Amino acid sequence: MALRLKLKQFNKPHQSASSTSSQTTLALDIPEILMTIALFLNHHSLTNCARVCKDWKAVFQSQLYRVILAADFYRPGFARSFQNNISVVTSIEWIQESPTRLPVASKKSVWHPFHRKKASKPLASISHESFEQLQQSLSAGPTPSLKSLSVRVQNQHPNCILSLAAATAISLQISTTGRCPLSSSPRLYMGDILQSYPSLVHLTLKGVFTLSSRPLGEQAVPTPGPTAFLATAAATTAIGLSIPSPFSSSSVGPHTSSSSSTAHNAVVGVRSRVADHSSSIESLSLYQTDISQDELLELRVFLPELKSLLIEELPAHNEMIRTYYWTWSPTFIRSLRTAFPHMQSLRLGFMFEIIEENTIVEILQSFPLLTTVGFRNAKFGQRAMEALQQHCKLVVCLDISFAYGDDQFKAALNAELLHFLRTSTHLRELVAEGVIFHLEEPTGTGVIRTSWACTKLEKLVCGFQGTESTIFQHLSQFPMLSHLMIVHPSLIISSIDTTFALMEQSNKIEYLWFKQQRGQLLKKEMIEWLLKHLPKLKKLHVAGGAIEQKKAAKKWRREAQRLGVVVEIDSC
Amino acid sequence: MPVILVSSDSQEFKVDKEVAERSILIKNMLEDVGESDSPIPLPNVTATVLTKVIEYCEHHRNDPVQVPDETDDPRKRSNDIEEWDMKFMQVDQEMLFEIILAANYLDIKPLLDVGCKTVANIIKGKTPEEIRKAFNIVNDFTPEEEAQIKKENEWAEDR
Repeated sequence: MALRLKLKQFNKPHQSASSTSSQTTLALDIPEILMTIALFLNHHSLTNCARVCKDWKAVFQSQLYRVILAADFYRPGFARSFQNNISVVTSIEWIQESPTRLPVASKKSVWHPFHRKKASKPLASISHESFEQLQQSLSAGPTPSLKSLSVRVQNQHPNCILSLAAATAISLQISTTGRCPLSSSPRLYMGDILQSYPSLVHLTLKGVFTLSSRPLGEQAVPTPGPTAFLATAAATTAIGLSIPSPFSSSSVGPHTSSSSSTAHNAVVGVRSRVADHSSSIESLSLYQTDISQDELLELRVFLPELKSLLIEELPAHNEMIRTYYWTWSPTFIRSLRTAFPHMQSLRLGFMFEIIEENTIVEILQSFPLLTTVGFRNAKFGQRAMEALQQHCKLVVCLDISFAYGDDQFKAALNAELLHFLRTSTHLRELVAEGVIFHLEEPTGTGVIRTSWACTKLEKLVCGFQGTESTIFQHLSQFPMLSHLMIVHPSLIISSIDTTFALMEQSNKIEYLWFKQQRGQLLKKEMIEWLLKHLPKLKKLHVAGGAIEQKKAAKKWRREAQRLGVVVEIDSC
Repeated sequence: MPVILVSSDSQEFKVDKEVAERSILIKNMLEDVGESDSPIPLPNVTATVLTKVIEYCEHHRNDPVQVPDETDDPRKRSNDIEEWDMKFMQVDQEMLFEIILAANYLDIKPLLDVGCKTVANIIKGKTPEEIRKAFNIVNDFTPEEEAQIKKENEWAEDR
């Protein structure tokens, strides 16, 4: 005790003597500012900051639990400290480590139980233990700050994720890899998801399983009146967990009504009869997760506020598996429109199902309020482009990659697309892989003919036909460009000063992808130049070139003191 | 269309509306006030700091407006500050924190981020005692309490 007083007395004069330290102290007294600083620190710095003083500990300690990996539960002391700090956790990302990538025990730590040679249990069950620990930790206390939950499991039914107590979550991502051992086609029900996570706004599902609205044979219990309520703690008790305290009002949407919870206690608690809870979900993204057309329409009861829908078919298990068997009809499109009247963003990417142009036109006509439109691998042609300009005047993001059609079809699309680009001023994103824009050579007066009106463009993915200098001169029209992917042609980018210099205003690029000419080596000067002139660059991705150069490129990056830039090189 | 901002020490600054609106606070004020030429008082910001803030906003006037994302990636890095911003932030520590306070008050998120990234870079590599010295912070932990925290966070050391 005496020692502590002594320390305080020692420090006091030091602090009050300099009044010039007041602004520093003032700023560091504000928790929001400390929190913002904490976001930029790694774990090692965070642990140091947590020891500085009590006020700092209150802020920095919680940041240690931003991203939780399954392997963390094996670090000594983690589980306990995680439980102690559970109330301040804001975001959890739990990724089940694949058995082949074990965390390597460092020499400093005492990870005896995890030493590979001594492992007595099969690895799959070790991960399961870790998942159970996550489950237990989340149930141990209220998690009022938890907003974002992302869980990826391997070889398990996605249902297991619903047992995690995180009712305050606004954003949820459920991913599965591998195959579920119990069932060849695992099914997840929206009703169940909403019971566990009633505050959801963003939902992402990835993996080979199926999403349904509710189990077959269940009757839809109509929600009581316009103020539909969300599942309360009582509902989750049905699954065997308890959430002690109600969520803070800020995390729950306008649909809460705690007074009606008692009336509905009679309804919930019986697993097989699920009341339809409407939710505040605004965005639903499905990557390879199956849903039938009828089930999608059924979801309207659960997702009346849906603004954004993304369905993308990806190769799974390193194979091309067909997931979606949809047939489009004007009736279906009309039903979709009625089901989700607030839809502003619609992105479809079916690999096996090639959407016909008539269907696209029909869809665009039915959803005039769309701001984001995506039809990948579809028959998006001139007529579709015309329909877009005529009916969907609010579009700011457009993805028409890999449009399906013969050369004539594509040429007609190109022409119409160009017309759009020359007239649209609000376009912010254009993803058009497979489209090649022909840039005319500058005339004698030095004016480039093809000038696009969309100078606010932030993301551009496409190909060009033209010399390097005309390409980059063209790109200099877009000062806000942050994400650039030049799919075609393969560039040499040798004469740096003349090519990239033409993009003098476009220094906001954060992501750059281009194809290097085959057989050409990456030049140090080029990487240095790119790093120097693109100060915001976060990722540099070069296709082509020798893979052995990756090391050299990383070395140049280190020398240029731009360790934050991710460098990827794939040979074609 | 110019807007007049008045610092706490009564100095007036004429700036373009577009530049002034990089501050969400000012942007909201302008929306509330409507078509008025009256100067906007900023009682929490001195002239020297306001000069710096305006300089930043002028340089970044064409940046896309950042939309606050609920699903923000918490794993941000601090080693990607652009060259101009880095030079801009080469000020003494007092001014650095004055800029941070002003950015917080005026609600200019990119400037707040850059300021906090700069502070994060100061913190990196320092022991708790060195951090306290750098920012004149009193240690209100007992040695036992501090050791306890160190033990509790052992798991994060090599993370």
